[in-house]
Amino acid sequence: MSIPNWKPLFLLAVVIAVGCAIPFMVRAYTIEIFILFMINLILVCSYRIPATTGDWSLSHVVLMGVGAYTTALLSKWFDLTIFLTVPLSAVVAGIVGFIMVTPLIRTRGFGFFIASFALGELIRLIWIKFRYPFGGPRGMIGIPNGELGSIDFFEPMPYYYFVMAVALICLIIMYRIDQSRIGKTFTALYTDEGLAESVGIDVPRYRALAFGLGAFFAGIAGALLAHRLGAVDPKNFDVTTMVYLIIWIVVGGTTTFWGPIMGLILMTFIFEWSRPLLEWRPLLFGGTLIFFLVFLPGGLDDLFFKIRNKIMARKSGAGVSDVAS
Amino acid sequence: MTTETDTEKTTMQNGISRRGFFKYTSASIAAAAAVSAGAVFEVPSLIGPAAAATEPTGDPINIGFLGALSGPDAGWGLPGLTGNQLYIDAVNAEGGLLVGGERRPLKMYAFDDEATGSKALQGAKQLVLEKDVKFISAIGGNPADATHPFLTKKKVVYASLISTDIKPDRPYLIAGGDVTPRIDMLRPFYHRFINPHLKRWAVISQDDTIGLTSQAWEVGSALSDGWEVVYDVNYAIETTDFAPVVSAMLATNPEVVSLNLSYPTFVVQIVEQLYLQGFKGLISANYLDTESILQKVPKEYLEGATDSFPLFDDPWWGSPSWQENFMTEWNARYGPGGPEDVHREITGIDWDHVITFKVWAEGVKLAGTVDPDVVLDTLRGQDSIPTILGPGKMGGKEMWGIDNMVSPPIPINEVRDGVKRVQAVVRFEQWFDNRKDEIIKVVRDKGQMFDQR
Repeated sequence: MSIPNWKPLFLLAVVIAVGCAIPFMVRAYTIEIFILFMINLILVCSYRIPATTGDWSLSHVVLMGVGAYTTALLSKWFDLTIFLTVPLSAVVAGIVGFIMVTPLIRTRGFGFFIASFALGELIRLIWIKFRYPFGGPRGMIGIPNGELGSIDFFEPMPYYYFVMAVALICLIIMYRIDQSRIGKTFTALYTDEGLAESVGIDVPRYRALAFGLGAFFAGIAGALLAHRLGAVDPKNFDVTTMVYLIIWIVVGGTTTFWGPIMGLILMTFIFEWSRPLLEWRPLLFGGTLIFFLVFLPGGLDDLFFKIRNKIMARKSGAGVSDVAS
Repeated sequence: MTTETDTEKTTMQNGISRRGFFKYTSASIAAAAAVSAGAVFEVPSLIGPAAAATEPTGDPINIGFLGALSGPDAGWGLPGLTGNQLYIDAVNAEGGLLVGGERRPLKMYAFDDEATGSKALQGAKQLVLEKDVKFISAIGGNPADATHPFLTKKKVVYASLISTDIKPDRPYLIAGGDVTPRIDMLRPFYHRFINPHLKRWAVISQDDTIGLTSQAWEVGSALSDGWEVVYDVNYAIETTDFAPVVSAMLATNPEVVSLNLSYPTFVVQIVEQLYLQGFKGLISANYLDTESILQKVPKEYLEGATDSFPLFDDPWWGSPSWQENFMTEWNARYGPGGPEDVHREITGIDWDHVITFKVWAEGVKLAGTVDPDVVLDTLRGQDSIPTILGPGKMGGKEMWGIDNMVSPPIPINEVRDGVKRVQAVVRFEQWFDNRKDEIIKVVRDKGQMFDQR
């Protein structure tokens, strides 16, 4: 019988313990930052799923919006509790994602990128053009924050713990997918699609599965955001927000599961610290993106591995060239 | 295009031209209101009193500025920082705001919400939870929707530029400084009076919240003033090529084209298209950035165009005046060669946010507290409140369901030789009372009343 690996469980326990302690150590506004951070965490990890197959899309934030709008409609029309709206919104987002990707399967690379943008904009324009039921340009307001018994999720702390629980579950599932045969298959599609097909992998099916799974989790992020804001509008899910997501992914890298998370952490810090720069901030973010694309195309993921390899090479006493040979 | 000469030839029975009558009447209205308030427009010194300033004796009052400071909407937000800061410095030069016998200095904190609801809510939370702000200057629109539940619960006054944000379930949201949509409602009246021979009115604006609602009010007003509204369309906010938008509008042969509350950058492109496509009628808009527009069209083309953001060096205000002082101070500090040179001319947005900010400050002084319930009740109880555009009043229940609209007199400008000049100042309430049923019906039919949105 194999000995269980306690290290990941221990790390998980530490993360949960720290996460539970945070609200007692920081100010009320900082809790709000953490709530948004955890929602973005789900979003950025969900984007990695289709990205590992090589399908970088420009519609992922719109799929987050599908989750948000679904939550809004379910809450306001059917008065459903947050514990139902979130999973149902995720299912709807997943289905929409699956439908969206079907015509896109014939495209690859830049073609997929642009075609996904077009389909995403189609959905966003539907929200803008149809005042009923989507509220048109104004969007929808009056979305309840949710509650658990007498605990009102309007207050930051209860909602923080709710989002933390949802984020943990989502990240564990996405990590398990990444480490599973399915996750390896996704990576194989990107590494060598022809070889993957030659060994019997149904490439279109797995690409569609990856896209749908990514949309599912993006829908969860959207639902959580909608309940926190109490309002959704098309501008929340436009190309500007998509660019921020791309920046997180590019900065972090997609080689490992942790890459996008590192990118999100770094850019969240930069985002908050750069507020006094006012209108110069977009320039800063654009410059950061260009820097990483030129000097660190693999992102922080790649940088981490390079540093680790150098340290290991020094420890082993051999030069890099000896290791390579 | 109607010229002043043509207009002057249109005389009334007593030989006074319509334009002259309008000027005389509106000036009289403004002056009478000012006299009844006990003072001609207030002229606090922006430079600071010659006598020694009083030292602060109380805790600071923190003010928030929550608006787009970057991105396409920044034109409505970023300039507002300068005006607010000038006003704050003027107040602090006297030791601070006089509240219940204490001099409490003001301090402003800004947050860029990029005109997005999620960021606006984050900003509102930071400003309230971290900085304990008591008043927030904002642009409004979708960010107002996202922030109002939180700000209502925290009882923080939020001053939107846009009256259409006012709703009964937002007791601490005040607006009116931007005179929107009242000015959009009054421009058809002004043109009807000045150009009685014109009949066909066309109106466009972007299809966001403020465009949809303001345009609805303008259409209702135009119809009530006997105009034939030949074109009433909201273009997509993502529009980058306005040629087809303008072509479609001009196909209806309008005599007056109104751009309603089109964003300043859109206005420049639309006016350029009107010029290129040979439109020869009148142009009317909520705000004309003449400096930018005149880089695209000749000065003569803009002659007679109307808007409602007056320049503060307009002789209309007189000398000395609050407006003249503001302009002098602004140019000295933010103008060419100034210590905080912003590399542009002063715009209407530089002072736009100050209108409601100053009203709130007056309310705090009168109430002797920053408690928003007391402040707003105090303001509603005043017959006249000094604003930088003249004596105003709180009202708006029939339009918005609650008396949270700051209603100063509305200036109407015409462009003369490339420069905007005030031609009339109108009291909105008197005009609205005679037409409100007809106008409200149109707005309701368009689904834009406060209880329909």
